[in-house]
Amino acid sequence: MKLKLVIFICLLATTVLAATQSGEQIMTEEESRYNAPTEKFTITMSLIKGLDIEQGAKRVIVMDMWLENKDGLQSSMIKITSPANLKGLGVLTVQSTATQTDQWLYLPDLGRSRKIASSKKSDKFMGSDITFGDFEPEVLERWNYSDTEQDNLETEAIYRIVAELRNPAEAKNYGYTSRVITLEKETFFVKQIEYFDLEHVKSKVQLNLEVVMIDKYWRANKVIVKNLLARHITVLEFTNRQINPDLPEDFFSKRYLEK
Amino acid sequence: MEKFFDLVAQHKKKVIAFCLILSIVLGFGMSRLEIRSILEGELPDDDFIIKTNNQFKEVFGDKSYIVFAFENQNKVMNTDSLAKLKSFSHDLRSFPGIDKEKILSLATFTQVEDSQDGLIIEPLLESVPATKLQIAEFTKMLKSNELVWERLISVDLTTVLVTAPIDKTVSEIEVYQAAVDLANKYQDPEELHYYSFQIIDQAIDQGINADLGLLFPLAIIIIAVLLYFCFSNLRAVILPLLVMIMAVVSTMGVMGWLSFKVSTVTSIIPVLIIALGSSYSIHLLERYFSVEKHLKTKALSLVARPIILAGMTSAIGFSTLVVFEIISLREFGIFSALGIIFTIFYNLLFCPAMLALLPQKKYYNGSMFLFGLSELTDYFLQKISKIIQKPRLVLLIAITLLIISIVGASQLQVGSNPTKFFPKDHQIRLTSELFNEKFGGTGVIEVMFETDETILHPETLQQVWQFQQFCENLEAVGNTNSVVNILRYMHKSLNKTETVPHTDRLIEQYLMLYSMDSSVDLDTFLDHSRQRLKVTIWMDIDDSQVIEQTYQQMRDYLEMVLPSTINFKFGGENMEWIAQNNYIVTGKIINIVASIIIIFLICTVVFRSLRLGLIAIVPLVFSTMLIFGMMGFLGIRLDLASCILTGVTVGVGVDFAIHYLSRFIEHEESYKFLCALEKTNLEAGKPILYDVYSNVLGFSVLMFSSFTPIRDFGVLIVFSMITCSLATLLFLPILCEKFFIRGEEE
Repeated sequence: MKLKLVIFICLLATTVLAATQSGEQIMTEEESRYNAPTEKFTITMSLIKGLDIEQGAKRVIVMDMWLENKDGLQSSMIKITSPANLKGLGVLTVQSTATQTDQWLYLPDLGRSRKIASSKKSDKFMGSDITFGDFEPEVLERWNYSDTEQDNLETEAIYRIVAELRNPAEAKNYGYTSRVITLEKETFFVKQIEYFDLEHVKSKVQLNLEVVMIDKYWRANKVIVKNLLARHITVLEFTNRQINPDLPEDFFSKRYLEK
Repeated sequence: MEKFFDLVAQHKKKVIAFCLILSIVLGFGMSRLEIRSILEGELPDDDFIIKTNNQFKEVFGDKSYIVFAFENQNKVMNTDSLAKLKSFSHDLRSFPGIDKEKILSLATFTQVEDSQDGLIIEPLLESVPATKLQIAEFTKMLKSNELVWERLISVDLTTVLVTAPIDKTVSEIEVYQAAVDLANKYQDPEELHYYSFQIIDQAIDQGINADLGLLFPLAIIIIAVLLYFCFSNLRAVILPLLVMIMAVVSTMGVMGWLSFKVSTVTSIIPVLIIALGSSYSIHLLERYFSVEKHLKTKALSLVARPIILAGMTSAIGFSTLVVFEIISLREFGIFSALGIIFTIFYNLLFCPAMLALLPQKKYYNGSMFLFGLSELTDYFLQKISKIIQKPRLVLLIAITLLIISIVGASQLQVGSNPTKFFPKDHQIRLTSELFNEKFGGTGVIEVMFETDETILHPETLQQVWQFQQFCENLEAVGNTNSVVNILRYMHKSLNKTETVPHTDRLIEQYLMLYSMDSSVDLDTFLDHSRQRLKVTIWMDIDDSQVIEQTYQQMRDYLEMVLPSTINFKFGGENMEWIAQNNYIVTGKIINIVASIIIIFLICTVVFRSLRLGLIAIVPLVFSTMLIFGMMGFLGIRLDLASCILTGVTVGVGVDFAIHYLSRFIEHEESYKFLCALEKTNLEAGKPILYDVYSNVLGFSVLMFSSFTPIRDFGVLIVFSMITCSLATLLFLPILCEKFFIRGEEE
């Protein structure tokens, strides 16, 4: 009986502690749990016209993607495998500092890669409703995080965090000013993100679905992004996911991009 | 009929209450009335072009655009103006209903440049040029960019365009007010012009409201003055006005209850009811007041028949407009006919009941038409009597006028566009002219190319590009736009070659690269299956006949050049105008023939004479020909408003013939032939001219309309009333003398 009481008190204390964590603490925890050192997966991306997944005209692009997180900086490589006309098209993104990201594009039929001098986080990822910035890890120091003031949150199994840019001038680069992030309390996994554009209008909703644990990382095998303003949907289906695959030392380089 | 009016007099209070309640109940429908948007179009849903346009919308999205022109007479290529443009493009993001990610201007246009620093994919005006040298370089760069030059900036460098898709559901008031606010903020030294369907709708709204606020009261005042001149008594003024207001309220209320919308054409109906209703009231009151108390019911029953006959023929004349496939014209036909029926209904029910209720006095002293109008009428009739004694001269003049009219009619132009509804100095018209002069224009024809395989094949795209080049050499075409323009631009930027990319793969890769920028919406050019693409052709001439010829040239070119594996379809707003023109022409011909035949049949039945039926339609045909001639000479187009003219002319003009021939038959039985004719001229001439006075005065208020076609309609209807009445008074005696055979009417 005594033991049960102790366990109960401990559980209660953990819950209270979790409930009283600040937004920043929650997001720090989320980041620490999410980012694997390296990762590889295949994305089947469906671009859908309109807001009806079943009825809208669909265009499908399949690509392989590799990610590396090192010292809080991320590099990524994307290579399209289908359709045939786009096969080999690649994008390499290398974050050299917290504020500096370099991006190269490889168009196979032009035969060489070109550095994109003007890359922005708001650039559309392969013409979809996702931006390159959406794939990057959270740079915690750029955002102010606060809990939403909903009364029932403590009783729910989720956190709802409002993330606002500390420097509003950066909003143009990101393409939005704030996000409302919904995380599972238990896993700190991001279930949903609502994006608010430069005029603070809700512009996009991202739903992370079909969550699985691979190694110690929670991953969504399906992501649906609804662009409410453009009335488009992008569905990403992840397969062949590998956590910490072996990648050559110079994998995130122009040489591999053009390979 | 006498029994009917006896009953009305017996139950006068009930009849009055019934009429008032009926008009109030129906009148509540007016609160449901809305103004028809130009987006709703005028063609029926099953029309081929409407179906094609709906298919285009399904494939490429149903978008409507707002366009702003930023004009600086001292050229916009200066730091201040460009900074303003950038700030304006940013402010536009907060504009109601705007698709903020798709705002297109120099400030947002995505340039793709392969520079020494790498690939630049960023807005053209990322940083505003500050020095003269930077401005010169920026200008040079704009000139070399075929997606921008003459599309986003004018050749004379005085005007830049900003366009953006706008949500169709945002109200016109909201859009208009936001545009005005932006214009106020950015005006001086620049001038801001704006154009969208909501802006046009708002201007039409304002015009219709101004018309209803001005023309309707003005018509009431004019008719009130006329009635006072007729009867010099307030009661004889108020009663007919009440009848007409009840008829207007009931008609417009029925429109509201049945969820019909008011268009520029149907906005004429209240004035039409006032103009025509007044003549029925004048006839009714004139007869009523001119007899002693015990003969009043008899007088009402005598006058009711011609009123019903004249009203029904007018209503039938108007209702022949339903032969048109154009929605506004059909609605005008139906509701103007209904308005006339309500006018007759209240004239024969409410008016006699009120007269029975009010204390009986002798209001009319026999001196109808004060201030010499009666004398003037007599003078006219005497002159006419003299003229008809020279039938050959009348015939000669008539033939000469007909020949002149045929010459004029041969120059008649068909069709118009919504911007031409506004007077020349109206903001909408000026903006449209600015776009036509300095950019591609405001009208659009779209062509969808379709293949079973991918459309993004270099050879196919080359053929599309050659078609675009062909179009741009046509006089009416401002410029053209398609995915080929983007691909050529990309190829030029990345490969220094200004051609269509040479492989399928490169084409797809360029498009992928281009779509990485957030402001690009390839869906408006290309469908997801890559089997269809759309070429947008901007027309800088808004003459719909020229547009139709241009369309034929484009169609002939494609039929000659394209292989059978590539299908094409034409759509777009201007194609609706072309279809509308065809409907106007075919509808007009059917309408004229149908209305003349119907009137001929009615007159033949009423007068029981084939010859009199034929004679009755002669003034109508003559007057119609004269109107077409006048329209041709004055450059008044056969458009939505002028189209209803024949319906109205025939509907109203036949009243004159009915008045004349009824009296003629009446007298022909009792007098010798020539004596009967002379008596008819004098007796029928007066009411005919009284009708003309009231109609002319009533309709003349239309000349003060906010819309050019309605003003033209006002001029033409006044002209047609005069010509039709004169033709009746001049031709009918001569024709009766020549062709009428006594006792033939069986």
